[in-house]
Amino acid sequence: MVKKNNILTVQNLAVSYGHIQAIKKVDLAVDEGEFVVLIGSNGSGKSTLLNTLLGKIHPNRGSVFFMGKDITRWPTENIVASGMSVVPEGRGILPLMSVMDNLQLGAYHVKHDISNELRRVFNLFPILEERKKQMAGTLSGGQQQMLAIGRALMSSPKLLLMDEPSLGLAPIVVNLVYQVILDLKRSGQTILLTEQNARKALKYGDRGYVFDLGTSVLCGTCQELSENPEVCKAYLGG
Amino acid sequence: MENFIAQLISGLATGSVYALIVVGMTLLLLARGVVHFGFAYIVVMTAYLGWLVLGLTGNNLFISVPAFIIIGIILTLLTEPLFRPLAQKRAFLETLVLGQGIAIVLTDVCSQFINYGRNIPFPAALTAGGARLRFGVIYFTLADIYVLVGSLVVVLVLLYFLFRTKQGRAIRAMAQDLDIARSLGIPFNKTGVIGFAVAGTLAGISAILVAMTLEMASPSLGTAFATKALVLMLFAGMGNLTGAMVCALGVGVVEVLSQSFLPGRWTDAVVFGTIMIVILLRPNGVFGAKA
Repeated sequence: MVKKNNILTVQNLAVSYGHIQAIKKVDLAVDEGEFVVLIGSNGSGKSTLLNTLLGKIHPNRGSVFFMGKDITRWPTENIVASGMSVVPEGRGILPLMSVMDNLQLGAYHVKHDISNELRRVFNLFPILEERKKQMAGTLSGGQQQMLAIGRALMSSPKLLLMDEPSLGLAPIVVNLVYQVILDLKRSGQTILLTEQNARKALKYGDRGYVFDLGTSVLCGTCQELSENPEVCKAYLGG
Repeated sequence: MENFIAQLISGLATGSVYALIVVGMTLLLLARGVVHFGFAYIVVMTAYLGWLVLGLTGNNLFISVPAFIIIGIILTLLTEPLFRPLAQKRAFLETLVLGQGIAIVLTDVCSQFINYGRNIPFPAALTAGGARLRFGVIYFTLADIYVLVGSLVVVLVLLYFLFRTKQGRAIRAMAQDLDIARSLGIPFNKTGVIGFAVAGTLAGISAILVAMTLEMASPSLGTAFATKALVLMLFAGMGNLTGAMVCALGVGVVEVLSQSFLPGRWTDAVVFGTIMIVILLRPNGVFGAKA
């Protein structure tokens, strides 16, 4: 029974790449307006989960419900069109295309004129407006992250997925990025974020899941998780 | 001197035809990551079928010109499903084999079933029959002018499509990074089909221009065009649109000039010889590969 304001429900999920069982059993849910984080070390299945949500890989067991619809077997283009956007790991921008091109691509499925969405992104990230004709590959790491987030926002997504946003960025930039994420959450954006950097994720998120070897082993509010001794030992440096 | 300029124009016109074919192949390279060796043969096949339409409609240009384009689109789209599974796997060698297969089939159809394999002449209605324009002391053929202006317009429209429309952007995105394009929800199948359809339009237009510049077509034309087009793409740098166009124009000019100054069979040797030397010096192409 899915709640009315439930955005995402994942039930009994198992996903494999050939013989490798990347996800053994995952159950999770994200409600409207929540900021949910997934923490876990490398190879614990976090990226695989996001790829499955996006329809880039199909699970061998279990289901994914998005906005009340069963999207388990949907192709990626339909899933994105129905309101799921991703900020990929490592930014995932197109380096040889301009900032503007990248942003416009984020609105590929948007049927109406996008000037409002553009204005919103430029207000959030003025540097992008300044450099809108520049090739995306010439931006700094932090600016590329802004671009990736801006691009994902162009479609006004119901669910924003973020794959390890702090990866490869200097600490001061990471702080900036999380400020932006927090602002987005405050404006009502539903966010599902994965991180190896558990400290940051648990500090800002509402609820969290801990992934270990392809299974969601723990869940709770981020407050609870950050006080959990096992979590502290494994992910927060004791 | 006047002769030289007239030759230059003629060479540019010839080069424009090569340029359009190369642009079509580059578009297919962007849209599907494949080298469509059969594309030039599709252009020739379109010219042949268009010739049939001309014959059937009594040289009616209003019907025949759109027919050329529609035939070009249909033939190119027919090859799309053949390339799709290979494109998904980025199977480069296999696409060359597929292209060659298409080439053989199309050449055989032309030489066995149409006009008993003889060359086909194009009517004056299409080629402006050698009508000349005079500019001072310089004469150009009307056909050459149509070809030059026509190609320029086509290229500008294509560039607009690629750089200012949503579908063009999607094609370029897929060419750069298939995975990211997928994450953005860009549909693999639909985008590739659109790319093939646009390339098909280029094929149809190229067929008309071939008819206008050469005033005939033969079954072996496919091989001549395909080889030149592939070599031009490598020479300019794979996927480099503007570089390929510039090189194509250059080759056209070199060809025409060497035809008038050198004994007959040396033309190809000069063209390919130059290209060979340049590639040895710059393996990534004169302008560098892109995508």
